[in-house]
Amino acid sequence: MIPNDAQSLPKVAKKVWLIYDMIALVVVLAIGIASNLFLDFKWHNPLTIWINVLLGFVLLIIIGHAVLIPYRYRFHKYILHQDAVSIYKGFFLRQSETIPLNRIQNVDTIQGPILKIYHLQNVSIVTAAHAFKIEAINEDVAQYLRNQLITAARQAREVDTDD
Amino acid sequence: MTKRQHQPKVAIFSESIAAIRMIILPAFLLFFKNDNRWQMQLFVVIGILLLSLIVGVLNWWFFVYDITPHEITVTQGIFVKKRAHITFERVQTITRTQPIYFQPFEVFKVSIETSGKNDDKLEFKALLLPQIEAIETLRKQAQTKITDETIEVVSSKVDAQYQINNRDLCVYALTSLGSLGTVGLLFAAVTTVTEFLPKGFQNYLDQWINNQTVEIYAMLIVFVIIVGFFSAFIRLYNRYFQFTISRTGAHLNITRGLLTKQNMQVRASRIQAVHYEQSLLRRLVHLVSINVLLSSSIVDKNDQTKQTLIMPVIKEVEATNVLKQFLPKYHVLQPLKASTVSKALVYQLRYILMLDCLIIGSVLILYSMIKYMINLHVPYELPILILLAAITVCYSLVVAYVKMANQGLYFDDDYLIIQTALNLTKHTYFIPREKIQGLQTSQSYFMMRKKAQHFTIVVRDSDSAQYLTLRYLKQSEVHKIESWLTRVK
Repeated sequence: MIPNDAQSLPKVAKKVWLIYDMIALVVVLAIGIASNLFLDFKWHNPLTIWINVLLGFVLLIIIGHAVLIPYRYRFHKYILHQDAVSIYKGFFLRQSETIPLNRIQNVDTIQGPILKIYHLQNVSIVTAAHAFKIEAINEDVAQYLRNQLITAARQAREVDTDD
Repeated sequence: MTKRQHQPKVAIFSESIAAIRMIILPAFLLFFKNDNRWQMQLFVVIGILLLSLIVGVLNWWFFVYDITPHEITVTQGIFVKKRAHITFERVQTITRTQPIYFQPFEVFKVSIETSGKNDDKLEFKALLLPQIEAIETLRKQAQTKITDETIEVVSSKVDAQYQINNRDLCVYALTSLGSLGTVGLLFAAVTTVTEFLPKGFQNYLDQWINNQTVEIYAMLIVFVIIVGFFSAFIRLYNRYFQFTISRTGAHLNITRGLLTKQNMQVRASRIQAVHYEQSLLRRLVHLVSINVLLSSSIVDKNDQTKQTLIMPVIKEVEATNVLKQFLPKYHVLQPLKASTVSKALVYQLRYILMLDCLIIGSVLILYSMIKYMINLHVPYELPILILLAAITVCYSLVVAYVKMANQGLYFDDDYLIIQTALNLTKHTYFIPREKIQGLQTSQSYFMMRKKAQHFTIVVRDSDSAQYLTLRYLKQSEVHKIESWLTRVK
């Protein structure tokens, strides 16, 4: 269950995700046209059939991904507790991840050209074993979150076991 | 600060062998080209030897290192210079390996790993024993916050020692299923070698194989399996011969090997988790293997396992007492049966059955498409497909049943114990709370109504993560663990 005080991403994140999907769609269509041109549109050639089936499948996935953006947005939330940071995704398939603040090794912010246009950033939280990402949040919130996480991680007591 | 120095000259030999390994495949092709003219073949052999020697000398010359009381610095590379500094405080493990051809020179290959990623480690092709001992002493000093005088006393006193006996080692080798992999490797090796044989001999071999009876085929298969088991036995016996683990204060020292001797030193606090592993075969004879998850990039190059074995095989009843001597702070208890929702087993079996149907359906569609495209005709097609599908379904259901029956969970103030089963092998992990890196949960819409959740613990293993999952736990139990984990001590 997503806690009531969990934060949503900014609404403009939906637009950014749609742009990503559109770019992917254009790239796959371009590959499809180029490969069909290369194969002279010979529809009885097994290679042509295989390539088009595969590209059609990828296109369906991208379209499905784009259609589900409002759903993904509605249930994509994060929360910064005193001792841990948590992220929640999905409704029909609910996933959550929690990282205690004293396990955080570093916090990275990533901003590509599209995120830059909309003044958004991705925040990547790295532990000694893995990393998880809070996608597309406002620049100022990302910086605030980054500072909060680093301060909290520094304050959290380091524990050693054998000395 | 010490003077920058080269490795002992025997490292040239090791560098040359590494160079030969790199160029052996193209050289092999070149060797069998040119219609087997002996002059050309001699030229190829001399060329390979000369080239590898030159590469060996250059690599040795451009590899220099210096050691200070706090760090070790290595500079290497002929065209691209690479300099690496590792402070002794950051060192996770020091592993020395002595192949049989190094034994007359009394030198060792040494690998120094940190908690960083795979390329964040130093590898010496050859070092003398006093040089290695000096590095090991500096590591211990840097990682033990006590006075130098105390170190002298502590470092020489062995608190606990365990050595595998010959009988246990044989049992370990016999109960390992690595032999099946060896059969595969043998088959791959034979296939590769036959490609390079002269055409005439290849044709003769093909003709011979095609003309044999079913009995001969069966005998050949049995022979290959016996050879596979035998070579796997020899391989494991050689690797874990005189396996000894000792504890000196907070440091563990592991030695093993017959032809290639290996020694590894690790500080106990760098262990991320202790892992008991019991294959179906070992469960029948009540034996268990114990290994540890480390936060270094160490990988056993021979079997590509990341985890470090600390006890190859030990009786189930003795495991806890023996382990306590080496890791006294670990809470090694038998976990309770995981608190799953009622009918969890039914849900898991149903899920696996649905997954099977999806996979078998997809494979059948793909098979039909290929069959249509290339006009494929297979005799007894339907019975074969039904048999394969039935085997897949039965095996996956048995695996799912064993997995659910073995799920265990326990936690106290400092430790979390998770037990699960993967492909009929039982795994139990003992994880200190501060080594748990994160917690993940997942829940389908259907599970929400049943208040069930899948729960995954993330632990560091080598330079990546190990995800340990328990399925269909009670939501309330997962919340308890979540609040336990996030509570700052």
